[in-house]
Amino acid sequence: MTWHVSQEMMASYRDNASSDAASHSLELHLVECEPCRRIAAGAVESDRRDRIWAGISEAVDTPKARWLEEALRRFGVNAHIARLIAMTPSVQPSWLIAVATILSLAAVAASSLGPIPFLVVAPLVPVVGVAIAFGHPIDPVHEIGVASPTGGFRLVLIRASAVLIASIAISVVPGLFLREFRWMVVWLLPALVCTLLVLVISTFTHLSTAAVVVSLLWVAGVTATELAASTPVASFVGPAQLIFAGAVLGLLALLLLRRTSFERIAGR
Amino acid sequence: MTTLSGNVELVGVGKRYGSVQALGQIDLTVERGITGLLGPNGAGKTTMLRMMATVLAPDTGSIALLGRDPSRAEDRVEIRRRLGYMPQEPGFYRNFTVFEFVDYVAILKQVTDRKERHDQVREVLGMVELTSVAHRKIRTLSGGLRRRLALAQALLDHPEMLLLDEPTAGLDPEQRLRFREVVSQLPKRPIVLLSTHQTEDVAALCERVIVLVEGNIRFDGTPEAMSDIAKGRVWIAPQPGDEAMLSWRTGDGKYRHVGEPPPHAALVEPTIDDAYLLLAGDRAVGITR
Repeated sequence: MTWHVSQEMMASYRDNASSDAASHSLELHLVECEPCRRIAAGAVESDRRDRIWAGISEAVDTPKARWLEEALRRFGVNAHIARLIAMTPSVQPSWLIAVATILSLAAVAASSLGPIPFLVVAPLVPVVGVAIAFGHPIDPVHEIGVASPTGGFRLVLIRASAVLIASIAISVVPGLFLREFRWMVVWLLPALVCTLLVLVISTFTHLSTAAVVVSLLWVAGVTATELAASTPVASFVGPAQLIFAGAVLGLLALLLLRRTSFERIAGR
Repeated sequence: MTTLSGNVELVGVGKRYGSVQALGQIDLTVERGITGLLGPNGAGKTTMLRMMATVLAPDTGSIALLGRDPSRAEDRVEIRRRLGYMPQEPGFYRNFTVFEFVDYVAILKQVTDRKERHDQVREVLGMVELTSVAHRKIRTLSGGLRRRLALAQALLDHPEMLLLDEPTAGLDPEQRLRFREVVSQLPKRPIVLLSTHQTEDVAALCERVIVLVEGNIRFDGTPEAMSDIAKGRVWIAPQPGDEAMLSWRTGDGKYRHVGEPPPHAALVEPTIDDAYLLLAGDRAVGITR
């Protein structure tokens, strides 16, 4: 080492008065030279140094915002709620890409087979999404979550809403393959019915079991209705939509009645 | 049942899983300080801690936690705000960093101010000496480090009631010492209840020991009082014997007997281990008859 930092150089650096070249040279030197680092540490008041250090820690520590978290915050969602939603497994990009692909295939099939394959699969997307969004054994942090003040019913509602919104948003992509616009909307109420039904049944048994039961019931119900009905797509149009709307209200009431069972980890 | 005290109170608490009685009729009050819950696997320790953590409801009896009733929704939220809980199998999001994970739990604990939350995360990571791995992904951590991470999240927000289910399982001796140091130096003397089947943890750390066997309390007192149970019932002899409840060969080639002595046996001072073996019987060594 051929030189050391003089008091004048240090004072000038501390007061932001040194040139860029001199500052860079001094910083490089400090990395190498322990005695000069000690001089530098003493040159700044401890308050200021602590403030700067706290700022650096905060900048380094702050977890990187996920794209969804950023988007939600831009829409005015509270920062901590946005973070909870962004952590939900079934709103991660990999899941959404898989969903978009499956629905796109169903939508492409609609051109030759009619809209039924798409309409059967689409409402099951949030059902599976909810099943992997929380609940034992799929969510590894389930028990810690339930034991927290946010845990239980509130967390379930936050995450179920996130899954529903994400599923609907992603269905716009495969929807572009459909010939008629109405096929893009008639599955929304059935999706809500299926999701709410999964949540209600999950208060009696495991969430994954509930998801399987509802999926089977849904496919069987649509198949039976289509076979029995005189007009095509009867499961989704006309009076069917009124029945779905009624079911949504009924299931919402049931869910509220059963909400305490989300506060426990067993007996479900 | 709501009491004015800030203790943990169980009155006639029972829990059954199918045909298995996990907990009998438990009556128990736990006050501030460190209490150890000692018992063999399947004794009901986890069931009891889960009830105190408000995630499991008892079939019979009533529970009051920090003076509140966990069966009431508004009380439950208040209890959870003041609770730190490390489950037996905590589970992690493996792709999160250590910092992200603890930050996530802090959000669940409703520490909404970002600056305050991050300060708390740094504090608990410092307490369990995980600061140097704060930005490593959880999937790259060893079992011991994960255990410390599980402890860190439980320490968030200075809980008044800290429930730790098998906190020292998988820790090496040095890490166990560090764990004891952290728990014994917690500020404001919270209620700490930790389950373990390691008698050394209890002897080194706890002011009170509760021994749970087959869902029932077999002992409740200080570690010293527990050792005294075995007074006059622990023997050293040059040969093995069938009369003792348990006997084993020690490092110096002699046999240690708990219970009835063989011929030519000499009485020795008991340890908490001996007392535990007497209280838990065959179950302590994993024999079920």
